[in-house]
Amino acid sequence: MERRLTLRERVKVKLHFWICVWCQWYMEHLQVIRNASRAQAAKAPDAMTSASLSNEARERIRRRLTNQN
Amino acid sequence: MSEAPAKSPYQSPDPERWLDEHGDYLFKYAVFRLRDDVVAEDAVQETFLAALKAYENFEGRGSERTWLVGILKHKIIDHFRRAGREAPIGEESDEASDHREFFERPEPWQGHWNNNYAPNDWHATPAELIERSDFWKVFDECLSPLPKRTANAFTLREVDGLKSEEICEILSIKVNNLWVMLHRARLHLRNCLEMNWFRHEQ
Repeated sequence: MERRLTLRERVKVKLHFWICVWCQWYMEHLQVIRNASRAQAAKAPDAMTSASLSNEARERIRRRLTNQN
Repeated sequence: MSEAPAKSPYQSPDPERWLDEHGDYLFKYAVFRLRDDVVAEDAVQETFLAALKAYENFEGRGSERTWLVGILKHKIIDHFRRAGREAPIGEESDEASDHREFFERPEPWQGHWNNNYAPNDWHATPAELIERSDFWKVFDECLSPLPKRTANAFTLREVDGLKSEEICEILSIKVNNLWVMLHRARLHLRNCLEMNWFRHEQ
């Protein structure tokens, strides 16, 4: 996922996947996580967390901006 | 939420309106990446202050929100660079668990998945997950226990799609450190999502 595997490495991984469904699923899961995260970040980045700006922070920022402007 | 109209040549910046219309959006964008409420609040404030100074450069070609997010992205990366210089890697508190319990240790099975932690079939596609706001709540909660720098490396790579070399420069780490962080973050997150989302869904 970080670098291109050498041919030898790719063959070893493919052979391993033939006999290990757990590792196959593991790789699929990492791809699902990556693809879903990137798609969500592009579509609705604000929906990736339920945290929101507190009223206290909002007022502090408002005061700072008013002083600056 | 409707976007503010493109800038006209006669408009002055309106930071109060920016805060009302974009404050929460920018905060959510920032806190998901920075993993710290106070730092995210500061990043939002710095974004608005920078936008006030640079308003003349905003020619209204794109949306106001897109322009503000562009400034915020730079503020987030600036924060990561400062934090990376101030806290060299290697501090124990910054290291995520290697989850060795997930794998067998005795020979001849050393390195194989331990039955109790081995992956199951998820039967899910990214398209299905995007529609579920409750999935992203679990996702965010699963990222929370990770050490900050590990979580930062993960979001820069997996969410924002930056290349390894870029992330290493931003976080002041070597590429081998990055790969270890990403591996541990993925091991943790995958397991956490399976325990707290995919098992319940099936």
